[in-house]
Amino acid sequence: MNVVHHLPALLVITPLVGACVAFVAGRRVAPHVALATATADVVLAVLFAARVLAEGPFRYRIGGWGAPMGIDLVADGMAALFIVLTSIVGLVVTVYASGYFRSTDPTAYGHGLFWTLWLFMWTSLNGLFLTGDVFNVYVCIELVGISAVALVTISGGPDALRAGMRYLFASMLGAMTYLLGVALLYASAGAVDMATLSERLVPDTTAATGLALMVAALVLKTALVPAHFWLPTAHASAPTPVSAALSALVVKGSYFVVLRLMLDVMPDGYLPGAATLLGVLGAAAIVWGSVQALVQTRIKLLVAYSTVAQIGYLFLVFPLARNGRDVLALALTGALVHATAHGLAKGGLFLAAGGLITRFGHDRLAEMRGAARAVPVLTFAVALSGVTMMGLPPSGGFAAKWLLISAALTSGEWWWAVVLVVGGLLAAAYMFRLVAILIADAPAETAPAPKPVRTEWLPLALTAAAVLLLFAVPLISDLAAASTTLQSAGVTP
Amino acid sequence: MTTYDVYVAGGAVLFALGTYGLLERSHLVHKVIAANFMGSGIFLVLIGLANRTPTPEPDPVPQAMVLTGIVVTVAMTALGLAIVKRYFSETGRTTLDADEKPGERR
Amino acid sequence: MTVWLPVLLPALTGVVTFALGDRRGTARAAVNLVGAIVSSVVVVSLVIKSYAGEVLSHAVPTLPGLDFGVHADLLGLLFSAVATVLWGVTLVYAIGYMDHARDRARFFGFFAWCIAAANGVALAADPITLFIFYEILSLTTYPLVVHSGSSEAIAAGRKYLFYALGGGAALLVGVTWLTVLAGPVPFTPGGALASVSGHTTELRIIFGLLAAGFGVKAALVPLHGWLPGAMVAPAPVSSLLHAVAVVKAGVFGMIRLVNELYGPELSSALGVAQALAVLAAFGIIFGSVVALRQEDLKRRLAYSTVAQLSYITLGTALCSPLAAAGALAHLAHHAVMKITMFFTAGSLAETLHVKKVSALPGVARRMPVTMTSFAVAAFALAGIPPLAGFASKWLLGVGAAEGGAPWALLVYVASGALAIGYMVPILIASLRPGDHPEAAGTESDPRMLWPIVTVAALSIIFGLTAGLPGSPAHWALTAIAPSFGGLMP
Repeated sequence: MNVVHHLPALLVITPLVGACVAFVAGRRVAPHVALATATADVVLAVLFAARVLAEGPFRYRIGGWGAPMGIDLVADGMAALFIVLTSIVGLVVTVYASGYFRSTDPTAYGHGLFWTLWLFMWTSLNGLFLTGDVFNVYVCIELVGISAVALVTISGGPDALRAGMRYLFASMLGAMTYLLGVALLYASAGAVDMATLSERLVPDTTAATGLALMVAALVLKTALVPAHFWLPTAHASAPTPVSAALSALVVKGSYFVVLRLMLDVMPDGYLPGAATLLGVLGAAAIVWGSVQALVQTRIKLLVAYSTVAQIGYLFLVFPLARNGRDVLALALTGALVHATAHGLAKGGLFLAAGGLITRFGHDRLAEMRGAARAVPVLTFAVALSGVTMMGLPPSGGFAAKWLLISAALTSGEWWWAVVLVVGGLLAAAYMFRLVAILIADAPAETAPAPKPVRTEWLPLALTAAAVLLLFAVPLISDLAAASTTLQSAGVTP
Repeated sequence: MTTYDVYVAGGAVLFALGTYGLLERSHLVHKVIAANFMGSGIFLVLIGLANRTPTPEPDPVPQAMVLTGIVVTVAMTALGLAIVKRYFSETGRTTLDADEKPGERR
Repeated sequence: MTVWLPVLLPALTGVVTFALGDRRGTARAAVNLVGAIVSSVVVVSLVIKSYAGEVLSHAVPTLPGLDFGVHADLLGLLFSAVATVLWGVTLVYAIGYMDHARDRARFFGFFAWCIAAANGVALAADPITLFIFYEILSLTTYPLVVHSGSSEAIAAGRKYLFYALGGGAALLVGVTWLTVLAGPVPFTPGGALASVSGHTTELRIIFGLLAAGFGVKAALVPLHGWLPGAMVAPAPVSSLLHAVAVVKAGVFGMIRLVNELYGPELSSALGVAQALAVLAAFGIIFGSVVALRQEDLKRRLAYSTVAQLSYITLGTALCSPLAAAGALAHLAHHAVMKITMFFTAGSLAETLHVKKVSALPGVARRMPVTMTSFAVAAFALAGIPPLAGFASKWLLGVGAAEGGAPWALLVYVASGALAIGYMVPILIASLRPGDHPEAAGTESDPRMLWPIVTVAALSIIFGLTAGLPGSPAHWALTAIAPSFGGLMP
């Protein structure tokens, strides 16, 4: 048996086995199990991406059954990119968490379960990125939701429980709506495999209603304005490593499925107006999220609203994608670069915000004045993440904005370029408000670090990676070219 | 009206009831149960679909989907109820509204 | 790869400075000085190669169809050399000035990064690379402007960012649009847009966007609002960044834009150069007149900078070879003159707590060497021969007359008179008797004194050697000639 042939399956099985072992192993050993699993997953993810780059997209039949009775995994460049992103952010979060849960009260409610739940979430995310079947998407998205809700409520405090409940109900509503859509789609097309669906899909009210319900449900899961109500409290109330994983990775999971449905499954103009509507909502999210971030008084809520704003950029790809394959390639690459850059930068920003909260003992922005002198590394990490949020060079945010603006100008739909530029300036407003507070000249009352805090360097590593992402754009661009979307559109790398 | 249509109509009614309950009821246990209504509605639609093949054997795919769906919904329900229980023991409340007095039932 | 060193060496110096932390002052000073000296040597070696006709270049692939590239041509090297060499001089001054300041690691680290970014702007081989470094320069300057952390500094920093990011947004749109329209357009002497010259409306709008973007840092009126406020920064920042690196990145962008992106011919044919010239001429008069009325020494210097930067923009916009060369030469000349003045203002503020013109009496007696240096720079700025300012203004004036724009000559003469008007009162005030208790002739810290003398001496040397190869004036003529078909007066 050659391991390389089973990489897609291994990417799901490895974290799953890790989760089970961590559960059985107990509090002491679990962090080590998680670290080993995370490292293994990084290796597998890189091997997987290398194979996709070398061979192009391929399908993996679980157990050798094959569609329609069996479940097929689809391995393409887009999946590889998100899997690699998940593994990198996941590894950093794992290392950070091993310090975080050591320093907080070890007997606290539920903390012992963190490792198991976190690896379960990782399993389901990898599954979600690999699946090529709309029903399997439902299962994976529910598993992501269940583990995410459990992780949000892990501290057991009333605020976390309230936020977790709200998140759970949004999740349930989304999942059920999505499943209804799948049922209607199956009624019309008689398939759940995405590739088969894209061949069999005919203009038909049942199928169109089904797809519309599915997209709407995923929009709710991705927290696109106006369906963002559950996100800020859920992301802000969770323990720091969880917040980072939720903002950096989990929202990308459901977004990934929207990409698949809108660009792979549906032919151009299948749901008239849907692409434009998603673009308009994206623009609204950029403005509304930024304005909300600007008025927050608690650091984690500011960061969470920034996520609401940054999600908006991801949806600008849909209206642009209808303008021929060259613009599609530009816009899709732009969206993928943005998702990667935001994943790295927001993961780092949440970890940095968590570090500040730990050192101050509270999360009130106004009382964090002058933090730069006491915690220069964290402040620098916050500032660097701002560079990506604003889309300034040489960050990945800049590369994404460049590609999306090029797509907008090439297609003649210049108004999306205006949205992108204004969004960058709004991001500058809220990020510099945060930075200005941290570097103001005031004595900051931080708790002295019990010992040198090595985990302070982790957020800096993530945000620095996001800032230098421009130099990795050729790689992302190759991965985008190796996606089923661009391959079927006839774009050659 | 075929058997399929009966299933679909029943499923749609259940789904609508569930959606209403999830959005409008404030008691947390009611919300969890309402979400189960939505699930059952969809399962009815799927079961009905199995009957729509030209061959006498029913289509096995929707049935497999229903089974999987039931498992997932049970897990979701269990998690929801566990959180509600913990929330009640922490705050004495059964709804998410911040202005409600502890212990009050609706 | 050698061609990347002027960017990488200061960047690395910055990283090491941050890593050393706030306590190890001696190591920090050593690292920074070594970094500056090595960078200067590298730049000088590139200059020698470039004079010999060997233009090094290197590009890293990034975005599809777009390379991130630098090239060491004479035009870019002039700016790079000014920034790098003056970085070394300013470091000596800054080590003295910041002796008791806090957060020195942050200060020197970002300082080095600013120079890395300025060198990137100088050597960028295409508009996109230039834009990338231009934005990095905006970001790395911000921590220096707000260094003290006072509410005044934070407010000035907010204003600076508002302007800088607004300008950056205009640049981004302009550069993207241009790339969509014309594909990759590397800087080419004489212009790179011949293939798309038919799109006149688009090209005019794009020129406006790019000029607005560069105009913010070039303090082109009405985009100059951030500059006087940014003077709350520590003196070395005002000196190097707000007289040399940052503002010159703006005018250098203008020079690249007119001479090597659009080309002088296309710029005049589109009418955009003339529009820019009118704006710049207004800026010269406006800056000079406002400078006359400033009581605060640093603010007076800041408005003088606004006027002098517009000199360079006007010279560029005239699209005549001599004026363009004069503009480029003035970029270097103004740098040494204005840095002398800001160093002096910093010394007066730090040693004597003199910040206003009215508090100057007695200063010349107390610090004769410092004030003599200031006087040399002031006369040079006013264009008194044979100092540096005269050489560049001569080129600018002759170029204006030759280029069919005699009105520009009038503007230059008028502004020369105004420069005397706002500089001479400073000198007169400092010569009046005043009450500074310490003995006459007590200068400031030698680490602050010697850099002042050095840069003042450069103002004299650049003027005296203006005709010789290697002097900024001669260098500028050589560098600008290819944009006008190679004719060499």
